[in-house]
Amino acid sequence: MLQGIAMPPVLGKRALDGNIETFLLMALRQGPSYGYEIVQEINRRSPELLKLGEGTVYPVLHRMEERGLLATEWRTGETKRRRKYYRLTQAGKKALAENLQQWEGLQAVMSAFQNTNQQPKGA
Amino acid sequence: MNRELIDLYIGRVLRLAELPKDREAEVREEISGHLTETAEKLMKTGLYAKDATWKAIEQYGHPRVVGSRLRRPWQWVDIRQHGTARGFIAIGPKAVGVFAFGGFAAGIFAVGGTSIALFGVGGFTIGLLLAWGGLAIGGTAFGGLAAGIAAGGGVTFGVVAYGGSCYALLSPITSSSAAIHSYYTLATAPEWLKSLLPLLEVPRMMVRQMWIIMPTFLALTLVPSIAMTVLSRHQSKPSTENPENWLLE
Repeated sequence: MLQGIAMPPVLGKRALDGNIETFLLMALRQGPSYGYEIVQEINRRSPELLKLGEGTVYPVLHRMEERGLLATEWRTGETKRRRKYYRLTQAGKKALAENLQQWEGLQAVMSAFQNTNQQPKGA
Repeated sequence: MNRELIDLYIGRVLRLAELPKDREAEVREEISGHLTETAEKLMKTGLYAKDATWKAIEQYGHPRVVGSRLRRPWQWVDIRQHGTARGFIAIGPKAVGVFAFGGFAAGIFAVGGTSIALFGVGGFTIGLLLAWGGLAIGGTAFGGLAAGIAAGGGVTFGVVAYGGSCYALLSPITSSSAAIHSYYTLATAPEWLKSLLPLLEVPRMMVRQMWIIMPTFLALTLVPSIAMTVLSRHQSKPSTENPENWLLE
């Protein structure tokens, strides 16, 4: 975490744009899951900072499916309820690796600037 | 949980999403499953079925927001009976596209009750290059009441204009005009103003070709407008009959 900067109460839309896909890819890294469970998982991991509307998640999942990042399959669980399971495809795994790489890079640049700004000029 | 409420909500979402039928069934089942599971979980905390369902729906989001997010972002042809059509060719109560037709239409070529476009046709139209309609405002405007750089029609306001009743810096045509208020005459007008006169050829041509243009205008505006009005009325009926508030906004 960057020094001297307080966490925001909730991540804003600008910060989330482009990153929701990465959250979903990460949530599915452990294995196939369905919408309700994915939402629960995301909320469980970041109950305060990340407030994703439940209705927000499904359209993103659908678009990722259309782009071939996720594959889907209907399964009937113990409760006899049919659920649509999402799992990562090879393209999804590749996209996740790329997104995380980008994120690492961004974080490195942020930290570099933060450290530079904390040093007095001419030092 | 309250199945009726869930179905009502999903129906509203899907109306706005305008998905293909096969896709719609899948999305319906998925949302329904999610809401059911959320409601059941909430009921275990002690909420009544209807309250739990209501809360699950609230958590899921406003149908307008969810529906619009589910909608395909861009289509070549988007025809819908409610909401906003978006596409290369867009037809709907509200339409946004390169060719847009609707109650409210915006685009490069827009035809509608109210239209905003480069080339606009409609009851009230703003057209940057050409506006043609009952009330027309634009670079070149033609209509019952027309205002623009070059304006022609019943009552006109323009830099150069002609019409039944005309208010302009320069109005060159006298024979067909009942009342002309022209600041300059052709003899006194500066050259830059005279250079705009060819723009009036567009509305003049439209008057000359009225026998073709009027049926086209009616076909483009009146028929789709009536059709859209009938369809929209039919579609909006349930929303006035149901007491639930934001579900059916």
